Amino acid sequence: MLGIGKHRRCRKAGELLSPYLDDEIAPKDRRRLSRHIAECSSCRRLLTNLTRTVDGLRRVGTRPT
Amino acid sequence: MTTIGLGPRLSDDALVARAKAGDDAAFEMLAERHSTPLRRLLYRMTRDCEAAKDAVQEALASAWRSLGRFEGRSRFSTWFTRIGINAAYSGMRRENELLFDPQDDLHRDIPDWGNQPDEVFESREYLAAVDTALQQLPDDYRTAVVLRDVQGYSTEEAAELLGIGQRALKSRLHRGRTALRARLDDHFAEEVG
Repeated sequence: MLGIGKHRRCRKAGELLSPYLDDEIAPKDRRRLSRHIAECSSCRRLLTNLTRTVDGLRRVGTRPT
Repeated sequence: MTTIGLGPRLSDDALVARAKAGDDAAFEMLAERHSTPLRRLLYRMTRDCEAAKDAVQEALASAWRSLGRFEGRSRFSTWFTRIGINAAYSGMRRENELLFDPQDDLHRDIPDWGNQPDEVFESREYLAAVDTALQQLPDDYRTAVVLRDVQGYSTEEAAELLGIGQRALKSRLHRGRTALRARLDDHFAEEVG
């Protein structure tokens, strides 16, 4: 799946970030994503920012309405 | 029909059975138990207090009308929440414009998250940015994100509440989160700079 050109690898990785955060990703995809993240700084930054986004949403949820 | 007095807390199932048999007090107890959480959820969806209250009222009326058809295949809370979400969706479609003023008083409502003044400022600023970005998402994406990330429902529960498959829920969630992350990019860039 990620054994393709960098642009497509990044696009595929982007699609896997959300399920990765929810731990709803197949083990095979997790391994491939982890490998890609280790070597791609832009996807690493995307993952960091997506993590912070979701963390922010969860904290918004604890705010009284 | 015996009505409910003081005593041990009855389960939703027991209250539903009594309400189906015509016990108004049992339905009122269900309404009291589940209306506030539903109102909070619908407020997150609509970001409009009045719209959320209206949708809860519609949900209560609808639940009362259709309680006889409730077969208990899902929990009462799930069934009631789904009715509320549908009512809120109808309201949103009617309004078709839920843009809010980005200058509203979000900052005032956001509690402190850290002990250091800088952390407090950072958290307030960041959460306000998250909230503003959330408001700007399309309804379907916002609802998926609110249910899953803000309210903390599981993928399975959120999909059930929306009456869609888990795959569709995940797709909306992914698109919603990605759109939010993109909207917050400036904020992240400022932090680095």
